[in-house]
Amino acid sequence: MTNDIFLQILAAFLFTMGMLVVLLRRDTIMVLMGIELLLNAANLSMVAFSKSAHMIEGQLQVFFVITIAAAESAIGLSILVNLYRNFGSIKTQTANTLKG
Amino acid sequence: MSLLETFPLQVLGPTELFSLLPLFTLTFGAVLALLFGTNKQRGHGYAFTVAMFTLVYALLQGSYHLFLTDVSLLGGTLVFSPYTRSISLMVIVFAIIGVILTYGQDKKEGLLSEVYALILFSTAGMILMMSTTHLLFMFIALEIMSLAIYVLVAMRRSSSFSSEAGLKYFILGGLASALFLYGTALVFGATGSFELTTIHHFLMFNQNPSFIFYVGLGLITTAMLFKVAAFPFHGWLPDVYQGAATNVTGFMGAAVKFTAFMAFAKIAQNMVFLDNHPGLRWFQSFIWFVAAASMIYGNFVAISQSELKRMLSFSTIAHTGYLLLGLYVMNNGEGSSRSLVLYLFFYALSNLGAFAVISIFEERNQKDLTLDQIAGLGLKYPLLGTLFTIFLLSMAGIPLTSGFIGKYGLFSAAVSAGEIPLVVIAVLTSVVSVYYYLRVIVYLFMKESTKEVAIHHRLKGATIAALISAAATLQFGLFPRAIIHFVKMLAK
Repeated sequence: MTNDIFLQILAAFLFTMGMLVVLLRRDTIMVLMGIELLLNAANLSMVAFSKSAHMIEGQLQVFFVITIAAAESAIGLSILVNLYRNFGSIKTQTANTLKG
Repeated sequence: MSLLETFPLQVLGPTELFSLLPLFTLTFGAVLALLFGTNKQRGHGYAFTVAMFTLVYALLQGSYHLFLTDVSLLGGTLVFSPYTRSISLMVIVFAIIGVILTYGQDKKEGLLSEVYALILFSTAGMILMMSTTHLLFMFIALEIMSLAIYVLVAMRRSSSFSSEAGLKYFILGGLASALFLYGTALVFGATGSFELTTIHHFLMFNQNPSFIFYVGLGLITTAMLFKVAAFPFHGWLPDVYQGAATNVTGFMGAAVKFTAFMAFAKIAQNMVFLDNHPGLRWFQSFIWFVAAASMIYGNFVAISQSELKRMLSFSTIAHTGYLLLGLYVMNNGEGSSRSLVLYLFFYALSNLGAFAVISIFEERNQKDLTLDQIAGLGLKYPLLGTLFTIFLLSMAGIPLTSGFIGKYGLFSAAVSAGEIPLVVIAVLTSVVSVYYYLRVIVYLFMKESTKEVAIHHRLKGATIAALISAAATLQFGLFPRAIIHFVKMLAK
């Protein structure tokens, strides 16, 4: 039981860290890594829940999520390459031509 | 529990196969369009042809098998009913108009021929997202849709606006997806299921779910509000609308909004709007506030915009507010869910048409059209000016256009559900919105053009797309009985 709670706290911690990375870091590569961290924190939480409830469902879904995460990082990196071609930098503050 | 018990393998009967056929067609057609698009000289034309054939075939398939019995696949994960089939058909219609709109625009903006395949892939994702009741399946469908849209947004490769918009959309969209996923995990932990219907039953018999459930529901609600771009979570929308190529903006503004709202409506119906559930009151009043704030913010900020696409993006935020009002009264009033579908359908059509006209007026790699640039264009190009006027009037909700029918249905459903304060806000803010819509018409027809503006690109595709949308807008505005009857029949 204590193990399950520990795993949930770890997942929540990782999720918070990922969120902080996405929101605070100015380097686009770091932001991409932050998104990966967010998805994996959710995975960890799902696996832990399905372990404690003795259901295989949550553990199976993790494979789908991993696949999605891979596709997402591929697209993220290609957008990043495109950004570098146009701006000559991958810092987020250089890309501010559109006023929000 | 063994694998076979979790995911029982079914033998597909004819009804199941026919329900799945539009999906198969779209995916297969997308792969074909990718293959044909590689041709150096004629790639764009081939890909366009394949995409059009695929979409029209899927439309015919879907409408032929519309009234088959309800089908549930993979143990209730995918549910096809006449209702989900017909909202899928509506998305296919948006995709058809989007593909026609892209024809010609692709060469002008330097889009690759993959644009057609990506539209098909995202359409398949949208149909999946609207047909499923399984939260994780919904996440996967959401990603199938969004990943294609991220690429579409960033596809004007030589334009710095476009890559910036792509980056912003990617980061915020990825964040929203991650929030959705973690929320799903927490809801799973609290209720022991990913199925919306099972969660609904769990909540009916369990007045006090654990704290984890509320956190998860909050994360899911936030993610969906991000996707539909409601007020506090709207930050990405104006930039993405400006940065993306205009045909992509039109497709996105119609189809993605439609899908996200349909999915959100399903989640909200099963998890948020339950009677006699004290813990969920907070979420209901949160949606109330978001609806009111979106209407007020969107309409008042749109007034101060001088650029067309940006103005339309803020008006989209305002329309999200009206739609959230429809969502809020969905379970209370008789027939309010059908008024939501109708409003979305009409709004999406006029939105597509408006962006089609903008794409004709625009020059290559232009960020946006300012109001001064369109001055006098209505007199110079009477057809385009008239079409644009029809779309703007429809968005403002003036009678004789479909926008009026949609708005009337939505507001009357809200009134009969007793949600008077929100309706008052909605009516007052839509009066405000008439100002900025009419201002564009004044610029089009009543101002002299300041400098020589000529349309360099005669885009046949965009003109046809605008004509189709205008015909639909007028048809449903003048003779709404048929479609209202149709949607009423589905709601039963």
